[in-house]
Amino acid sequence: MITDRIVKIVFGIISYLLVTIILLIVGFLILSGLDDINLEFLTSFPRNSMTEGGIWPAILGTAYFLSIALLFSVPVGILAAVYLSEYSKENRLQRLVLTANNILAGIPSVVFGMFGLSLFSITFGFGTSIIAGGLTLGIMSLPYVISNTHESLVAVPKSYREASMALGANKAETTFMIVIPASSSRILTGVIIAIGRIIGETAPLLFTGAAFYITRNPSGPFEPAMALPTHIFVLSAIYPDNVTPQLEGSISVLLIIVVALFMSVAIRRRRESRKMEG
Amino acid sequence: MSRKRIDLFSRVLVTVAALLTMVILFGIFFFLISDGVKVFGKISLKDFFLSTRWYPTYEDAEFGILALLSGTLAVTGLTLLISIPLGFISAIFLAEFSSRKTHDFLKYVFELTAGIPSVVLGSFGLKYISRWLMELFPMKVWTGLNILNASLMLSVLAMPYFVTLIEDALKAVPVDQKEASLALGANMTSTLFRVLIPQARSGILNAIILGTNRIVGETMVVLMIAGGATMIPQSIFDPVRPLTAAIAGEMGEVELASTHYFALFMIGVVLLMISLIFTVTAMRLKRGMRR
Repeated sequence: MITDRIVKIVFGIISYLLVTIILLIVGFLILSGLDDINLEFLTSFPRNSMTEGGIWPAILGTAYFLSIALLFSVPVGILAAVYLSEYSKENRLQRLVLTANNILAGIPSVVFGMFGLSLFSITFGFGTSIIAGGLTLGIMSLPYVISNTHESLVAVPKSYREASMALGANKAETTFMIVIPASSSRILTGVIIAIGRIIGETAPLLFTGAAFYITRNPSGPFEPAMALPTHIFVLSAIYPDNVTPQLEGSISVLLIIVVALFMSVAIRRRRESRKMEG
Repeated sequence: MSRKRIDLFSRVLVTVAALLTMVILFGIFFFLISDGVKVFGKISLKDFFLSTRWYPTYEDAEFGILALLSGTLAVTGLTLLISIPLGFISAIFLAEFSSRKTHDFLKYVFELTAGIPSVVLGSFGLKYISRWLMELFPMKVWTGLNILNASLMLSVLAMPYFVTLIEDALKAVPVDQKEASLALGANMTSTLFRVLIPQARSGILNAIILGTNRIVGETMVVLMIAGGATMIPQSIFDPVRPLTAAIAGEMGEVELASTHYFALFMIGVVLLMISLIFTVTAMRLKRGMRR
């Protein structure tokens, strides 16, 4: 029993040490940028080759890219998940779709970027634009939306479907009026997780949609836009020390958004599991 | 539309959406391979894979990816050496030795860690870790941007995968196995090493494969802090240029439809094949586990 005690203490110390290091890095990065964030920083354009001014176009650009990505991946992902959980039997086709989805989820983001460049920017002629970058991110997030939604739908008790069918509803009515509403909260949690996964993606946007430095807002979806992660990359890799406040502020803003997303997921999950326990 | 029609229409709609995932996967392979193979019109298969000389912008350009491949291997190997043991220890602590409250807190932090954008860790390594490495090993280090720096930051990204997946694998072992061992008088530690870990080994292998896949494909960290030198590394303090860093670093300036462009797409094909093999192997293992 002494061995158990020792293993528990040693493994516990190591685990807490790791978590402490991680929290220190995140906390340090958020705090060191906090004094650079103010209303002016958040709402003004970068000036003087990015050594002054704020990150408004990067915040707006990230919102544009995410909207297009979700406009694609949420409807398509939910429908595909409905196929997997409601319409398909355990057959070859279902297994093929599941396999394809797993493979997609494992493909490196830089490869999605090349695909987006080749298909959207060149073949479709979208060039470097919000729509090309957004669709690339949309395809990247699709496997996450599908697996998360699939899990949520499978968790709906069979009795819901049977009760609906017994009242004379057909498959479509049962699925879209009973099953999906019953799991909507979990589906939303899955979408938030997918947003957390793609909000910091940098490499795919560098090829397909990112502008390094713009002085006016893009006038439509076929123009490039700045984004928070690519802005952080440009500031830290290309410009030397004279953009430190801009860089620290940008990192802080992005991390605060990510932490907020994950906190909301944790809170929603706790609420859901409490509901399940009754 | 009548009810029946709507029912039929939705059946078609969801099937099309599901098939779309397969179309996208096929499209990714098609677009990368069709551009990638064009490099072999100019460069021989042997020169591409077995030459260490990657000089895409020289007048007599050379496109050998062996040095890039060795960079990927070095960074991935060192990251695994750091993050697997640590991830293993945390997973064991979470699965068997922690109270529910501790468990939930640690797990939350690890989940959050998986969400840290890699560009942020790249920036942190660039500004701070590189300086600390220079101060810590002044005799050995000639650049703070090297394999060790990249592996440290990649470990932060990879560890949560190992922790979560290994913990799941340990928890998937039937509880009666554990109880039988404890009832026979074995303590928790020997139950863990003699019963739980051997029973969970295919799940643990699955976790290691999926985590390795993440590390190989990670781009921003290695682009920003692995150093970018095209050379076969001799020590962990050498700078390298992994496959993903070459793509992300050069794609912006490359001329469309040039040999360099096709060579970068062929590197993309190599990455695609690596992730395909890893994912399919992991799926096979998982299916084997269920039986």
